[in-house]
Amino acid sequence: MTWKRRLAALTLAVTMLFTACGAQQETQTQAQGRFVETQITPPDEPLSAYAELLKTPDGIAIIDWLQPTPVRWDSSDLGETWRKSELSWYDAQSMDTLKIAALWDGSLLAVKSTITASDDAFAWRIQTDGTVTPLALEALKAETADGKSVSTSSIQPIGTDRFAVFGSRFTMQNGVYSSDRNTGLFLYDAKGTLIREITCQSAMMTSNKTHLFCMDDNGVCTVYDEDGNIVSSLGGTYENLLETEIGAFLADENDTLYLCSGQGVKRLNPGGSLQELVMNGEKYSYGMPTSYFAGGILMDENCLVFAVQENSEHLSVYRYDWDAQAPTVSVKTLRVWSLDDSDLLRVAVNRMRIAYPDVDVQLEIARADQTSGTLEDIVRTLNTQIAAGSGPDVLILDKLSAQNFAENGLLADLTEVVDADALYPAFLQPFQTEKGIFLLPAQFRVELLAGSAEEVSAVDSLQSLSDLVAQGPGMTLSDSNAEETIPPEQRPVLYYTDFDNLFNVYWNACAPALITEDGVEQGALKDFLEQIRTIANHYGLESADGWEKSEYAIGFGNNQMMFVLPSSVSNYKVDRTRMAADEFENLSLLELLARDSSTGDLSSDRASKLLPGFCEGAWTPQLLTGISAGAQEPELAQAFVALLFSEQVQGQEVPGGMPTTKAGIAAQQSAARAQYEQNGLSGEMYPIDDLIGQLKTPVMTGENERMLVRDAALEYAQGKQSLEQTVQRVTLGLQRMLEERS
Amino acid sequence: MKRNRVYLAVLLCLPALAVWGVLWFMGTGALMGPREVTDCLGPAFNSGAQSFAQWPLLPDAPTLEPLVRLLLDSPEFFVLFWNTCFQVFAQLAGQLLVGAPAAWAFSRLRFPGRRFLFGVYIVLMLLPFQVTMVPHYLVLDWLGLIDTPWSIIWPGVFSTFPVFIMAKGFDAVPRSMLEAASLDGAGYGRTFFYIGLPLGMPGILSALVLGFLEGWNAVEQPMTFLKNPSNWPLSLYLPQVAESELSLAMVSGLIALTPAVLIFLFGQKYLELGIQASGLKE
Amino acid sequence: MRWKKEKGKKGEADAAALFLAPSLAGLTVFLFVPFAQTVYRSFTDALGQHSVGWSNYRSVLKNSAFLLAASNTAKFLAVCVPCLLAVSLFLALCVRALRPGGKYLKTTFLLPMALPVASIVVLWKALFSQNGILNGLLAAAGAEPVDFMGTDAAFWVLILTYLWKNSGYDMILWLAGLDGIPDSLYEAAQVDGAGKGQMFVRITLPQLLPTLGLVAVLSLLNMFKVFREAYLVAGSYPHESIYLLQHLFNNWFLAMDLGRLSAAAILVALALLVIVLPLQSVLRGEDGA
Repeated sequence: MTWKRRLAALTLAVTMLFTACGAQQETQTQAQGRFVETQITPPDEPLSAYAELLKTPDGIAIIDWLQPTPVRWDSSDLGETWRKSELSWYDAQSMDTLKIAALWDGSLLAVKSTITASDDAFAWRIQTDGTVTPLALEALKAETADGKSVSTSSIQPIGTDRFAVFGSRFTMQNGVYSSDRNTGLFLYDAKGTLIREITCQSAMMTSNKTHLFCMDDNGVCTVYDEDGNIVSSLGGTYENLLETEIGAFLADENDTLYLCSGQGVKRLNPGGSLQELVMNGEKYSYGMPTSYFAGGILMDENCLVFAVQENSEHLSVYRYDWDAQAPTVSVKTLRVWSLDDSDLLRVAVNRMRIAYPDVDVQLEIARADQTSGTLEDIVRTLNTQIAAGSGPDVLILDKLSAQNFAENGLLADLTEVVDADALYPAFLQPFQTEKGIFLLPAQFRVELLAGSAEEVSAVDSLQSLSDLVAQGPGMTLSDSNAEETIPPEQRPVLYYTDFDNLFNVYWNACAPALITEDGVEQGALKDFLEQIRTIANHYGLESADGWEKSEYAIGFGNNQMMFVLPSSVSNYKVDRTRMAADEFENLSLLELLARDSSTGDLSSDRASKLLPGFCEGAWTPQLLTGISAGAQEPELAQAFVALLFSEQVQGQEVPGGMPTTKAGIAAQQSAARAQYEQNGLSGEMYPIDDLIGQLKTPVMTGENERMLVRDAALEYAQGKQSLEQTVQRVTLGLQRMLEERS
Repeated sequence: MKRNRVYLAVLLCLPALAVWGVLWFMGTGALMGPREVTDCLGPAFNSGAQSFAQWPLLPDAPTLEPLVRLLLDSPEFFVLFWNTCFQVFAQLAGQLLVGAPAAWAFSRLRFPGRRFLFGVYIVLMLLPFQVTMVPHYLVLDWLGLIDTPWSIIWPGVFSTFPVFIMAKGFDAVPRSMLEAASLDGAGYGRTFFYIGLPLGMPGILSALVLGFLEGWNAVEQPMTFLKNPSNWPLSLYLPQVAESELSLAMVSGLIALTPAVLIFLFGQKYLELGIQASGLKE
Repeated sequence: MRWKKEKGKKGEADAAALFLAPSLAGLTVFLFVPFAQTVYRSFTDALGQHSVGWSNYRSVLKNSAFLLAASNTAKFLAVCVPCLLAVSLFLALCVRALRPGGKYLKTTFLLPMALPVASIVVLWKALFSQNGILNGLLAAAGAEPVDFMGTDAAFWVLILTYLWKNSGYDMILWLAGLDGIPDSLYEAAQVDGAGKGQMFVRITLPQLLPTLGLVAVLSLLNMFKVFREAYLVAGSYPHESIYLLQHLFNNWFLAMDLGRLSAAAILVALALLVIVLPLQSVLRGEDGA
């Protein structure tokens, strides 16, 4: 039948055509050389967070007017040595907070960060000899009509002594900030005479001696000369560059633009569409997850200086020099593997890269996005690599069967790597075996019960908690303002937004008592399922569509990280529930819990304790670290693990868990204490050492078991099966797992 | 007699329905929009559902949208389609070159240990993948083939399954013919080329069709040996796409089915491993 | 006696060696060597570094999960292969009797084999889930919903899938086998006064023995493939009745229990060898002549 043949041939041809069009090739070019980081922070006094980094004809200048004694640092040798001088012209009274720029002739221009109609003088020019001349920038002042204020977002020098100021109008009413986007860019000369007003949309500006560059929200960059005339417009190819928060926008004398952020430095050649990533932020200090990119200047195309805010108070300054000879292809590779992303891990990786610039430290996050496959697929891939001897060097075994790895001899001994005294005994002892230490957690979490001191002490078991819940009111679902408080007598005892939240909290307090080495503890399992059902039914958590998950993100801690408040805790904090029982992973959260919201001091009325589950002192290990026995770079792996447990890394407060080392806890607490004291509060902190002293049982039950019990618990809560049936089902399911292991 | 035929036909309709029913299911599913599919099948897939899944006779709102989305909106579909084509056809070519002579040897040549070796071939064919997965990976890694299509192609070329099928096909070639040929002075090679191959063509084509199906739907090997998703064949990509959206699952199934159906239409008669009663059997 | 050396013509063995060379070479690299590795690993620990003697084997033979999986696999084998042979033969006879219209039926029955596993999984879930279509129909008819995947019913669902998928191709093979039986035999028997039943048992069945061999081996092969569907639908820890050897292998691999995995694998391979070799000799008829 020839028609069949023809059909087949045609189909084949068409599909070949399609696929040929679809196949794409990507080529990557690698440049030679790389940037080398040197820290050049001025010695003696730490810089405040508002210090300005400036480029002067002489070199680098840093103006720190926020200090008790305002100070200026100068360096003419690119930061090797610094000269300190007093900032005599700064008058806190009249000047308040300033935005400072250095004009190309060496003089300084200072403008108040916020200008209101009542300000007589708000701009000054400070000559190199120290004379201060107030400038009346009329056009800018005129913006403050109608009770508006102007925020000076950016000042860019151009020409010999000209400058452009971008001021955005805004009003502040009842704590609500509303800005007027239709504001402008004013080009002035050194005497304060307006040369031109330029309509400009955003404050994203930079300049070199001859040109001013303004980038708008769509990535269109308009180039002006020193008279304010448009020279060219570089259009639209830079759209997606503005996705990241730009820390610094710089230009060199050849009109090449540099976009700098925590992710790295991208160079844009003038007029073209070529974007080149010249620095990968993750290899340097400014790319640390816990750092904030505060500003930067360009000395020349081979030298950049960045100001990085590494904790909430002080600034550090780093210089980056291009080393053309440095090899970009590393001799050694260190592979760090983790199932999920972790900020602490990234901090450690970043630090490792800085300490060993010749080593290619590869961080593999296995479950990065939707295409990663199921947990089983990921484990299968990992195991195959390990079995073949080409596995990663460092393994983070959270949620995987870590014990299996340790027992099957797949991990190396960590006894020499981490000092036994460094960790709290509670976190070290469970992992000490006769043959050595193969796993160690770098972080931990706990389940806590929080509420009034009286109520918390009355709850001594999950049963009594369930009783309390059952006697209390249900949760009134309101879809309006989620922060509305509920009158005390109407408040439910607890609330979770979904079933999984409830289950996980309880699981982490009970799992080791439910599933032991011998099998399922049926009595404990029954009790567990009952408790979960009571609470789930009381709040209707078992129905398929629960309430919209509301999570609150709060920034606190000793650096720039944002933390998410567990939903039941946020309900408790805004007085919508009487108690909270949830997972706590940060010291700051614990402090938040223990303090009175209005005074900020430790409240004697509020208390929290370990959730009284079935196990004594249950805690969840995080970042369970092991070094592969077949690691190809064992020394580097050991150095990395040592770094992960060092004070430098553990002292950073990040989401995910609290440090397991004594030094880490101490560092985080002292940083927090300093902040509280600065805000006029007592230096008393949450007694974390007491809490850690109570911890005994790590919860290491596997994901398979957890999912099995979770599905069974949900069905029981939904009333689909009787208690006997549910327990039976769990036992049978787990039986297989246990049989396989025996 | 006629009545018997009718009874038989009706009897056979039941199993036939089992097949047509499935095809209709896939066909209607492919024409349904995402919402309709989730409405119909959602309860079956969610653990906490209260209602039952159902399936209509015809889609309420037929739409080509999922089909279009899969074929035209996802560029990776074509890269992967090409991957699959390349992997499968390369394997088939190799299986022919390597397997046919081996099958001929097992079938029509005599040598010591033939039965035992053939038995070993069969056992190897039957072994589940997991049995030798780890050392298999090691060998491929040592050869530097991991994460390349060759990690699928080379082992597939040396698979013993086509040898088995082709040997069965060659069994139909009568020995008398071979003896006649050797009397005429033909060597082993010639006999193979001019007598064995043409007569054993049904077996060879059968092996190729089955090999095609095997390769087109292979899941375990690509999953283990190909890490980079851009090297994946369709058989890995489609279930994943389907995981995220049910409607795409329907369409992707239909697409994966199409080449096989075409090949069946084209070569169905070659799947029969035997010779017509009127043929060469003396 | 089965193993007596086959003496062919001079040089036949050498020719055979040449014909087999590429296949054997590839097999050595891609199958024999890995298999030898597996044998080696069955005597060592997980990383393959220290020898542990026979302890892996002992542990495997005592392990209840292994015994369950092995018995399930054997049960499956004992049930599904004969079922499939019978069903496909029946279909072949029916289709044959319906000549020439049966041609379209042939294509119909072949199609399930081409269906990708992912689609079968979707179909399966849609039909057999707790809230699937079948339970929906049962509920509408007033009956109790059946937990297909959570009880012994899962075993039969798996068998049903197996039959549905493979009957077509086996039917084709039977048809070819049936076609190969010369009509002369039947004619002679009819002359001798044999009835339909007798002709079937005395002529058809014996003549089909070689085809039976082929079909049996292929059915065995496809039986192992059933794991794919079972795994994709029911996960790593399915109901007891469909917990197969491959589930165990998969789980042991995920737990990095490589020593026991290898030992179990070798045991399975030996079992297969024991089954296949005699089968092969008994049922291969064609070549002797």
